[in-house]
Amino acid sequence: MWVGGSSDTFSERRFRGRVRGLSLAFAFGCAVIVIRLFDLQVLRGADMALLSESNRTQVIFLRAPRGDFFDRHGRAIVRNRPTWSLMYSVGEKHRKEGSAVRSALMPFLSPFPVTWERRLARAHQTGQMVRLVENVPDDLAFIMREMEHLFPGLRVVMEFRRGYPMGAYAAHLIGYLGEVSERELKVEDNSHLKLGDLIGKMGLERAEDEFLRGEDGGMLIEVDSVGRLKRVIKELPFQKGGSVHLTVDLDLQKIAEDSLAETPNKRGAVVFMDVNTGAILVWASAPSFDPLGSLADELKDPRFPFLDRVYRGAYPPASVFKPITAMAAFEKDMINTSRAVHCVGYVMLKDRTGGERKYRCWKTHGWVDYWRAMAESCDTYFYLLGQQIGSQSISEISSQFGLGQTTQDTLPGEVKGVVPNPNWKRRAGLGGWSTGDTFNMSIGQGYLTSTPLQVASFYQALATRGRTYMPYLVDTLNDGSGRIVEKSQPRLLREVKLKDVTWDRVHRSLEGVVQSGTAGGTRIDFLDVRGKTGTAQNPHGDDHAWFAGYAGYNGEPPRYAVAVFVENGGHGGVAAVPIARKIIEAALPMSAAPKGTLR
Amino acid sequence: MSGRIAYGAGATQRASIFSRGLHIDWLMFVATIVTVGVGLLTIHSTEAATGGGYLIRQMVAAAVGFVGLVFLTALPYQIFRTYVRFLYIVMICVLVGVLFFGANLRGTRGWFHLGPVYLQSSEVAKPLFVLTLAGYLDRRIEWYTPKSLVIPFILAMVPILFIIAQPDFSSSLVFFPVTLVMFYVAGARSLHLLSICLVGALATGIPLTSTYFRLLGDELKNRPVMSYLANAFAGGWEAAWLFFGVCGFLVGTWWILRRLRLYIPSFYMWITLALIMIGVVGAVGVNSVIKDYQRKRLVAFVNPELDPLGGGYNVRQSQIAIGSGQVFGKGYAHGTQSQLGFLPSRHTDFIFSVIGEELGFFRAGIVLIFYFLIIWRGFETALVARDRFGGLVASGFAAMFAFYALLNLGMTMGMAPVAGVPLPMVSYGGSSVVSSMLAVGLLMSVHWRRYML
Repeated sequence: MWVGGSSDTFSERRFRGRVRGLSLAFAFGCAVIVIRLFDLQVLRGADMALLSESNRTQVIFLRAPRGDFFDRHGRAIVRNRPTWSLMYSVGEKHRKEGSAVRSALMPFLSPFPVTWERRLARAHQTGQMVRLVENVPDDLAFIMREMEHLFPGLRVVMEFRRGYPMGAYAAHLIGYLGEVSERELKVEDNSHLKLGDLIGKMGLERAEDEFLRGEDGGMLIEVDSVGRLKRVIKELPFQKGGSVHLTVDLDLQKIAEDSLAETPNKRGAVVFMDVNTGAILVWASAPSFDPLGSLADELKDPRFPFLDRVYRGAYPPASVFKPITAMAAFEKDMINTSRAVHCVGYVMLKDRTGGERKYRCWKTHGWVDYWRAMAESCDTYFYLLGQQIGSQSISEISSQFGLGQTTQDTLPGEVKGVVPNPNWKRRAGLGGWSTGDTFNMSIGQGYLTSTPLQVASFYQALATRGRTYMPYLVDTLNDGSGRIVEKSQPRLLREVKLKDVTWDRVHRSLEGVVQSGTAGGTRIDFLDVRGKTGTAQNPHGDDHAWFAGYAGYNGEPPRYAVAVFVENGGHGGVAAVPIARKIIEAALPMSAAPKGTLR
Repeated sequence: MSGRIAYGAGATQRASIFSRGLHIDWLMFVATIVTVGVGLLTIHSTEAATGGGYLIRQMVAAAVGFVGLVFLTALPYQIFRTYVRFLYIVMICVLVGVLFFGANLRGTRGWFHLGPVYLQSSEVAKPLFVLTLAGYLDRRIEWYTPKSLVIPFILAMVPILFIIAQPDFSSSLVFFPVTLVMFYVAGARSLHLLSICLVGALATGIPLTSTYFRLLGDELKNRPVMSYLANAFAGGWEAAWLFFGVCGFLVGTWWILRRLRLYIPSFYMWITLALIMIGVVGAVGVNSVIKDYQRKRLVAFVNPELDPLGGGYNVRQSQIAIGSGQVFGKGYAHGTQSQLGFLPSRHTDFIFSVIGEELGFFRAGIVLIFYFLIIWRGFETALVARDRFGGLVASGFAAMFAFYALLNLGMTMGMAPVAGVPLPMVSYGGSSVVSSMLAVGLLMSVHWRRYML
């Protein structure tokens, strides 16, 4: 009973009843709270822990610097240089609207391609970290550093990019990098790649992509609610990619590319190789492209800058082919080197329909024997020689020297060229073989096509009396710390067995070309240069110019083989020979000449 | 009839304090010490991120509160009943005075700046409110007419309105359930209280629904009924039509029921209409009181997507914090959600989220049990009180703590809107700690003196 109250027991009983009711209701509330706590912490605890973990942690990939490219003297052709990239991720708290970030960045990023706006949108959609722009100039990078405080998700990071310390030479050979495409990501072999990765899209960057790539590292970092870095939880250092030491000589490569760029059409190719190993010192294709430039611009160029003419362009070899015809004849003993033929500037040939066709020589030579025919590149002589020995024997010798075949099996996309024969022509639906076809073939025209690389390889074999080495570009592969993991050995592909007299005569006739013939431009006192010019008739425009040959110091075996091809260059002696001369002079300088070779 | 207690026995009572020492509510005492201690530890844990200062101030406040608790336990609570008018006047003076002389903190003129400390006027008012309301209700036994509710209702509303005027809507919240509970246990009729609830629901419901529709915005375009309602709640002409429609519907229903020979006194109909009217008028008043961010937080409870970066964010992060503590917790001061700043108001309103995250289910559960123990002892005290006044005081404070606990804990776990109420004695806040410990002291005083002479 309440003290002091009137005997209002009803009121007191109601009080107690209602308090008990409230206390029961409260107990119910407590039960709900505890059940909810159990639900959150025990039943859904693991999910919540994941959420909290993703709140506080972010993964930052540390891109491994890609391996470098060096030339044969250890000079860097491609090197990594540090650049700034602007990264962005949406913070969990204080997240700004995408539009606000965009309009704040707009004045600074307007010079960059508009793709950054799309990436920004992606960051807001997915919450992932994106690379807004790359190659940010230093001054802008500093401005962006300041902006990091205003927009906590913004981050300026240093990344390694490709740099060309000596200029963008050997672009075709080395290729370029691009972001991996969605389609490429779906390929199973590319499971190690992720969106935004750069991969080699062409050349050695592509062929050796995995070796050059190295292993990306990563940082698991803890961030606070506004996205500021608190500490690094785990760091996995990156492994620098391996480097590639090429057989290329950057000086010679420069001469070749610069010379090609000075030709009228700026198209062509140069191959310069060591005849005793097959190592390639120059691999030039023009026009070239800027590996750091915009792909879109290059693709619009009607001159196909991405076409590597060295191994993907097949052209009529024209007169540089003539040694084959000669060798076929020598092998069959069907040639008397001193027997002269009268060149009146053309040969008339009856075709099957009974009509007559005129096969022209490039000039009227008059009486020519074998030596003069080769030196002055008389077509008439070779028409008749070819007719005499037949197309069969020409294509046999061609195949022995690797024409119509790829020079190696490891160069994807290499063009084989064509060494025609009656079967081939029929299968190709071009009708039956005629003497005219033999005529054309014997001077390296008609259906015959070959790549500058094949021509160089042929002259390499010629210089070594048939020992054909596989052309190669990569000297050593060195791992990230510089240790050699793979070294290329010269590989003898095959040995063309011909009579000694055949070799002697061909060599002698090619010396004549330089000393007294169409390739007089390559005559250098202390050098023994031999070779052959070529002028490929081109029904679509100006003739293509060729020079192919080999060179060494006087009195020594030849050291280098060269093939120069200038598209629409006109006469080989005019367009191609000077380029070859420059390269040969640079590769075999007087200062390095062995004693006794100087006359 | 109000019964006055004969106070002649006072001397005897004082003399017997020591002989009854063992009858003190030790459970309540221990639970309070533990709870305050857990609060201090948790505040210390959050200091790493927020910077120092909170712990020291909270410790000083807890010490002051402890002294007050002991003092009030020892003091016969009946004294307050004697001076109930004086206490009411003091409370009103405090609440009016703060409007003129108070300091403005965070947009609220609710603090007295006394030297190094800020004293929150609403916290001063809380124990006074319970004591004075209990004192008034103790003398009133007759509850059968609605009229009997009018005067105590007005007496209760005056201090509440002064607090709202500060404006501090969050702090005023607790006074409503305390008033209702005290009316209820004092014997008010359920129907009358339900009517008050109806008015209250209308007065707060209408502005909040209006906000809700406003935030939904364009989503309503293709839904004619909803967009009509949206316009109505935005205060267009549709509002008037809707109001008259509802009234007409009620009158029509009453009339049809009458035709069906189901007689309901027209009195009820008029009362209902009047209540709706008062509710709508009240809504206009409430509309100007609640701040925009408060509405958003309240509405975000219903639909978190409407305010993902405001109230929705807070609740989500709080749930993640508690949930990620799992069974054993992340360890003291190792809660990533709180230490890295994902958790808002971690040392005040969301302090339980820190406890949940860092201590885990078992230990946070034990903390909860101690907290619930205080409230349970409060209700028990109400039951064992020696007089009606003591019972009313005890049930008022028990209701206060229960309301705070359920709303605050519910809020941290996403079951209640983010109303901005602290967890008393745990959350940082000096005035709140002192005031709450004084309330515990009063409860213990009532409990101690439970035996009749």
